[in-house]
Amino acid sequence: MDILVSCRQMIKEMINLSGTQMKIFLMDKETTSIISCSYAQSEIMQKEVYLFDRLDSKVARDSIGHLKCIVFVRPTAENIALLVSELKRPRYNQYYIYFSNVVNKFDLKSLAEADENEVVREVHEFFMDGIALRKDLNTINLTRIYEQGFSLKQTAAERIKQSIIALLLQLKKNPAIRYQASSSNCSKLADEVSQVIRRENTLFETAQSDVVLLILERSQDVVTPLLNQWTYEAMIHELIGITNNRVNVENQSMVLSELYDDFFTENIISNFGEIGQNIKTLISEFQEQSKINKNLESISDMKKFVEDYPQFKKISGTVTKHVALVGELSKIVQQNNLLEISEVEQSIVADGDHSRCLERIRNLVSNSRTTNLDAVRLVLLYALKFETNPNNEISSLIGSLRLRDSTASRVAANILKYGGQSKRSADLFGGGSTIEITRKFMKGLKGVENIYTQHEPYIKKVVEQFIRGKMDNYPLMGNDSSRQDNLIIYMVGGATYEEAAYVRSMNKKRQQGFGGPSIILSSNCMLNTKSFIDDLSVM
Amino acid sequence: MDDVVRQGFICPFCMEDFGDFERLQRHVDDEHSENADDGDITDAVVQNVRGLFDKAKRGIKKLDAKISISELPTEVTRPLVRSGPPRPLPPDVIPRGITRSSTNEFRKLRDESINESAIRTNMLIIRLDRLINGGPKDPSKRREFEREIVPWLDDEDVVCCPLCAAKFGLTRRKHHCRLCGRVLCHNCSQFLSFLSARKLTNPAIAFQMQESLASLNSDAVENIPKSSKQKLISITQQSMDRMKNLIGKVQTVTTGDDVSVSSLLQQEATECLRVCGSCLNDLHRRENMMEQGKAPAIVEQYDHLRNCVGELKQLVPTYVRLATSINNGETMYTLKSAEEMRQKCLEKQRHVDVMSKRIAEESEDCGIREQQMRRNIRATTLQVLQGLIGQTTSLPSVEEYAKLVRKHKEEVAKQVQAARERSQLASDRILKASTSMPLIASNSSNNPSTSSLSSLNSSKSPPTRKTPEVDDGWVPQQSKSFNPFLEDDESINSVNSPLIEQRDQIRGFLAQAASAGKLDEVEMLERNLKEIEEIIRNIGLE
Repeated sequence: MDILVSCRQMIKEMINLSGTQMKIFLMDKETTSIISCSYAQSEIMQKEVYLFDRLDSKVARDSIGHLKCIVFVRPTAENIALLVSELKRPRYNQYYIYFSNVVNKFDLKSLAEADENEVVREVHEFFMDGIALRKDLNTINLTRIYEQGFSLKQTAAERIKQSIIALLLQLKKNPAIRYQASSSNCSKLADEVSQVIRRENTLFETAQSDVVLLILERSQDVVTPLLNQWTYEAMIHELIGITNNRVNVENQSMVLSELYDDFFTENIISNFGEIGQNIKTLISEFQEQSKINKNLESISDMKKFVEDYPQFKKISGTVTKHVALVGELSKIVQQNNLLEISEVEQSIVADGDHSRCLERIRNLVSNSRTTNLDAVRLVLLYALKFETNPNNEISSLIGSLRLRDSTASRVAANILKYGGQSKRSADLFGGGSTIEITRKFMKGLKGVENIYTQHEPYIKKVVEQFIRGKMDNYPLMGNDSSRQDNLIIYMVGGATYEEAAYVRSMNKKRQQGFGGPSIILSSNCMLNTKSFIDDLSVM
Repeated sequence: MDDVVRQGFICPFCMEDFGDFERLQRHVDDEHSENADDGDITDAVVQNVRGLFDKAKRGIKKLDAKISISELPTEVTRPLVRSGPPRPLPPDVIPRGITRSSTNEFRKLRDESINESAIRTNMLIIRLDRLINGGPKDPSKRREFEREIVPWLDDEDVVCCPLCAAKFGLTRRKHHCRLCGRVLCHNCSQFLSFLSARKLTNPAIAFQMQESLASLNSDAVENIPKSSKQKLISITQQSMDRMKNLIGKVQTVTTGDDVSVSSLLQQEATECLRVCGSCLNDLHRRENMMEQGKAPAIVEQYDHLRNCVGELKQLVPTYVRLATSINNGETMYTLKSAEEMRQKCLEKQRHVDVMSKRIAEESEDCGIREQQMRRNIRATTLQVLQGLIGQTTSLPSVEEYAKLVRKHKEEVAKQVQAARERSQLASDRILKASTSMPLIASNSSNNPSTSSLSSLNSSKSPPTRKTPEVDDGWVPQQSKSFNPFLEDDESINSVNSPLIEQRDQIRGFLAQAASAGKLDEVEMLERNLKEIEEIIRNIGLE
């Protein structure tokens, strides 16, 4: 399964259906993201699409009589209304209208009646209603999905359902649906999705049923989005922030794409240390070839080198921009004392002796170098870990945060309500069962390679259970119980790049021939600690 | 099918004969053990597809295996344990996502709603036709005539203008739409010139009129049109002028006094029709649809550009083929034809460059978006050109080429020699390997292991697939033979054989196809040429 390739196929098909001649591509806000993450603008231009515009643009679009117009929009009420007025006074010669999801008969009729000039040539549904960030990662950038009491807002539930349906159709899969039993949001979604599949059975006629759709909720693992990250992409998102594969560094916008950036593709899940090393290797090779000898001891040395030798930029392609990006990351790590903070985080999550953790957290919270965000994250981790410990000092720690962040106490209360001990079906921190103890012992023997990456996201356990066929906590919708090869994980409440990195590593292993399922991770948004806490503060 | 009964140590997977048990076992371990290893049932489909490739690969491996088997002393047994790394999966086949077309349903719905307005528009056009073609010139009689065609709504029933809701009175008089007969005030009236009306009722005549108008405007005085046309022109010019006047006057309506305006409007009434907005809208829509066939200049320019780029995209790969062949020192093409081809490509490239530049620059009258579009067309074309120019490799000079040809001849000769020795070796080996095997029906040339044996005896050339192929697809011969590459060109030409003639003919066709940029024909002809040359060599043997 590869959603990026599949998106590209769809877009190509849309353009091909409209034939030759000069074309304009009309999109809405969301479809713009869908298209731009899977096709570079210059690449679409090679297919005779020379203009791109928004259907809902505030600036009046010029009329260009001889253009063909490809419209790709979500079938929302606003878009239908905009299309109706567009068709009544057409600005272009011919229209090829594609919807990203199921369009209802009533809307189709109002469009048909508006097309008095008979400019519409094709109307299709191309099921592609989410952004393919990577070949195995899909999102719709939808935050704030909960109402009071952590049930899904009606609009959010509807949008998530639509994106799941479109994803299934795009991948041509008719899944067996499993859901997290402890979450009523998940069971409701699972039920609604299976209803749609039954209702639209003609659409699913040709779909293969070799896949399990597993609907999980963030509440099961609220720890992962609270940790500092040390693999490349996760780290960029945590420290700077990625939106639709774009990141802003030093007032420059960079695209982090699997399609057009080889260096990035190879290093998406590399450790921070490895990336510096990889860049250094590339520069050293260049130095050898061009007989330059410059010392490259630090990231700033590399940065200076890249600036001094523009030739390097030519042959290295995208590497230069990664030098800037890595430079920015290491600056933030230094400034915010992240090595120490991350070490404490990991020790809370991993072995977690109470008094020792408390002391170190107290020290860091009172340290002025520690940012507010890091202080809050440490306290939240502490609260989650020692929630049931009778000697816990949660309230006094929150008290010490009050000066830094006025919302801290509400966030802490909310996170315990949302994902506290009572909501978790399994122990997030381990340490309980004998199996866990053995596992830790084994790990201890091998030696912990990197104290900053001891944590493993909870979906790893879920996937391992899936592989072994032990899915007792994830009941099936209906009674389709055949064991299946592939897995689509939908995470209600947002996924993290740490989880995306795990999924990516699993798919990579499978590709190398080590077996295992092919996995796709889909979610309503990509979280980092900041956006996660933001979401919690308004609930 | 091979219906020969075979005995011996035959591999059950690939039906290859191995002479004795040890060899067969080794073969099975080496070649077929992997099938037992991957019990990966889930990938059965992928395996099937791969099977096709594997079969071909195994075919090649077999040849190598045979050599290595016979070279090994029989006592030494190779380790049977295979503990290689896991093999990577082939890339997934990504199915095309599900889509659904609603076009037919949309059309049906549209037709239903459009029928109504189409009928109405047709009625308007029929009325329009009768109004402009005929009727008296006299204004008072004219009104009667118009009322006859379109029944007017009774004045008495209407108190306010239905469009702007203003009350009629002394200063705001009642008017009628000449097409539907509805009452409306002067301010809400629109006017349809006879010229545009004619365009709707009889596009051909209107077109002629416009044409001659255009030629007149462009000072083409020597092209004096026929008298009838002249009349038409004068009429249309008059009507145009009056229309212009009218517009001017309409603009002054708000400030000027009513009496003079209304009297002037009476005069114009013969050349213009007063219509209401909704009728005019319907007519405009029809007009737009009729005009859709006429494309602006950019469309033509762009089409031309696209065609040229398409031709170029075909020409360049053909040229690259030619250039590679020439640079290898082959004599399939002449240096001259390659040079011509190169010139052709360069010329096309220049042409495309100029055209796209023109599209980008002729944008004064366009809106911002269209200007941007023209720039994007130019940028995209440049990108394509850069890619193609990168491929157009240079050609050697005449002296360099002569050197290259000599070198290539020597290489071919060497390869022929090496291949001959190898095939000799191979057939010796097979002879040795097959001695243990009782043979039944040895005259089938389809049977690979027996055919080479028989070929040794009958000194016929073996089937070509038995001999390992050399890099460029040439099939070396079994024994000493005549090779055109080792002879001077004149000596070949002097041989007056129909085959030689045919070869020269194919060379001619090839040159033609290459210069026309027909890549698939070029490939086919190259194959033919090689076959013919092979036959020639074989004949040379006789």
